Amino acid sequence: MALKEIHHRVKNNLQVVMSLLDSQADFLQDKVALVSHSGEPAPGAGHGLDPSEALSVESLARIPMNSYIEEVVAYLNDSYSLYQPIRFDVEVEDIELDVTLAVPLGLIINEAITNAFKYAFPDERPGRITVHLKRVEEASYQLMIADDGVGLPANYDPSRSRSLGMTLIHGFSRQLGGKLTISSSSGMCISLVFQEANLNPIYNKASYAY
Amino acid sequence: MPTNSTTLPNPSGQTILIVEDEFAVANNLRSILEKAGYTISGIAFSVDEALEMNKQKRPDLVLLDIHLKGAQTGIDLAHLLTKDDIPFVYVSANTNASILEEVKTTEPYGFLVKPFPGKRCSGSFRDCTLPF
Repeated sequence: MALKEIHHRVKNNLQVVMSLLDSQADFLQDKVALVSHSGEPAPGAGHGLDPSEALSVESLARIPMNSYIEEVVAYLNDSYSLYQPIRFDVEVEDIELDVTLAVPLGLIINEAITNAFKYAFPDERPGRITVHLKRVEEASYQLMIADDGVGLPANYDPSRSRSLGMTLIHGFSRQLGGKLTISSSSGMCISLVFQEANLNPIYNKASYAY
Repeated sequence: MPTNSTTLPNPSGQTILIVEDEFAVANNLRSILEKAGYTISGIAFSVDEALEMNKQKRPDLVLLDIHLKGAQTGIDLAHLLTKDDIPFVYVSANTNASILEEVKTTEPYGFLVKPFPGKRCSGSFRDCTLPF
């Protein structure tokens, strides 16, 4: 890979990281009274950066999704220590994806699991969080993050939510050109069906990308 | 001298379209600009989406990345915006000399180089919009 291509990627990724930090800082500012009052530790902006671990993989092009998702889940599990046991059920098929898909997918998983930790299991309710990634057709995949918690409040419309987490989940789904479904019956279920072909290989274009 | 934002012209009523294929970046730009008083008409990931959104609501300014989703680039969009008399500012990590030459020929209102710190940009966007 040409050095200037790497240079360009670094700058672009740095911008993504800085944007997430800035958005998180905004959000924390809005919530600052609430957070300091409850004594709850502020959710670390670093969570959003977790998927950038993928960028340290030697080959930048393809990310093995099973080990990547395992890492994201382990990281989040370590970061949030709830009193009650929360079990994880992670099932990821043997799938490799382009880094341009893997990073937004990691960020969606990050937001969905963080959301579950914060809201799904009140009153020390024990629970389970399921993360699946499977191939539904050739080059078509489904990501699903589900929990058996309390689910969404009856009057809550996730497509109208202005929370940072929901905004990011919807936005990254659009970026991936995927079909997002959020349902709540017994717990909450977030499903995203996406095609690899729908995403242009951002860094493969010779002339304009750099 | 620190800039006092309250003494700058009020941008309210001005509408901006963001054309950017990284949602995290676009969303951050949106919140910065909304805080500065602008209205965001949409976030487009591709040239086609941008044109569709401009049909729904004509923006006063377009912020555009050079590399976008799909085959067409921000430079392609710039030519179409010029035809429609809609001013634009590039927001890109692109510093390749030949592309910058091409960028210049589109006569943008400005060029913001990524990575930019969040607080810096609302000022320069405001400067960009002063000619209106």
